[in-house]
Amino acid sequence: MTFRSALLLLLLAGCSGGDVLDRAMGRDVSAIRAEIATYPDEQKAAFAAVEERCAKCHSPWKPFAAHVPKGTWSYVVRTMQRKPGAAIPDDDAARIAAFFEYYAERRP
Amino acid sequence: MVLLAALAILIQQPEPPKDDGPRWTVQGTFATDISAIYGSAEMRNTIPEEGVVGEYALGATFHASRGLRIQVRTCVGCHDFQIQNAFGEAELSESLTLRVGRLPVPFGSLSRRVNPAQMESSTKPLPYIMGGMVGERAFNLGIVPAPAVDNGASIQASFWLGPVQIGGEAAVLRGFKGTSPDIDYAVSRLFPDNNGEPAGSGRLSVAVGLFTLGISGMVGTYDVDHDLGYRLAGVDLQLQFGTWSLRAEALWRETEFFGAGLKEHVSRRRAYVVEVDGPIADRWRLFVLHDAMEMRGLFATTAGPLVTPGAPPFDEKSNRVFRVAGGAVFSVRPGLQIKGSVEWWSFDHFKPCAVGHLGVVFDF
Repeated sequence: MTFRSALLLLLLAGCSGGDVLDRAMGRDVSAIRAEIATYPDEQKAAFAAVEERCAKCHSPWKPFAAHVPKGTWSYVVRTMQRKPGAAIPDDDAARIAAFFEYYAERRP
Repeated sequence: MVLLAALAILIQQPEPPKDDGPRWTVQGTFATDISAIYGSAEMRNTIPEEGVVGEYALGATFHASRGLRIQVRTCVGCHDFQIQNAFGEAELSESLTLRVGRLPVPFGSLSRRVNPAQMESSTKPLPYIMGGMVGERAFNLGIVPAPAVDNGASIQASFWLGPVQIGGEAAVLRGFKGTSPDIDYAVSRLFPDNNGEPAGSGRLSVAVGLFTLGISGMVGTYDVDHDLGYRLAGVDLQLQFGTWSLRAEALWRETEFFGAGLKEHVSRRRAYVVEVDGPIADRWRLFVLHDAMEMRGLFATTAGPLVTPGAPPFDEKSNRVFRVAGGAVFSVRPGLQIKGSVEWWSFDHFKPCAVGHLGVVFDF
């Protein structure tokens, strides 16, 4: 039973690996990273801050899946910054918020 | 006392800042894990959740203003429907936050990353393990299952001293519940208090750059008569090397119980965990984890930790469990992960076994 369930799960995983999820969930992380590589240096550096600061508590890709309205990233990053142990300096918090606004502006 | 202190600070609070946040945010995690044990038949019976296990949580936050939020999160997992979080959160100043309600207990490093999308391993570190533990009944889980949630109020503080961030959180809580000789986590999930005596928990962290050191403590009594206490302590360290993390933590718990002639005794647990995790490619993260725990003073039996011994091999008053785990996380999309891992469990007195995990996590 467990073996068959695992096979079913692997089959599902295989299906989800293609473009079938693009419409529902957006592009995969490789495509997002490729897009970021085309950004100005300032935004590329800000994404590096995302990978360092945010990954302390969660996957750096989690914010890309979060349902945060445009124009409110500053507020959201600030609530993260206030958490004890988060250790996100003000300048990094501002860069991270600006990065996600920049990213969101390029979404349809 | 916490509430009075909070009110005193609230009175001095200046005008609230401009409201530029969202009104509502919704969060959810849906994780399904399939596990299989490779070992002797008797070891298969010691893990209650072998097979398909789910952890499904959905929550929402109402942002009443920039400094006032109400968060509710429900969860159905290895247990029944539960309110995982239900608290109001008020920013009292630039560095202080008050929480009131059913809230995450501030203890240990894992309290901020308890959901399956926030950790690479398929099961939680042994000190915090909530399900998927081989020998779960015999040991009655680890030091404190995560997420630990409780009714109460807490104050969070976070401020900078130059490049150093000092963080702290202290909470007054209802506390764990149970009957001698150990805490009963199923009963502890129920909302009513059993002894009318508060418990306390707190965590202090110091972070410099990509280095974080934390210490935690918790005290309370778990029995109806408020006679039997528990005391927990922990120290944790996180080092980041770029996008890779090294996490190390040691935890202790002392639990009082009634022995022969209702004389009070103390059982002791100590545990540690060391984990390294990080990306190896755009869509792949790897982890390696080692953890261990020792329980002394009670017999690890099929009915749980008891004062009296069971039949061999459940007649030992000192029991240790060791685990080594490793695996990978594949990010299909932001918010969709496939997790696989293999765990090797070994014991002082029980037979060793291996557990394989494969799971899908949907998180938003």
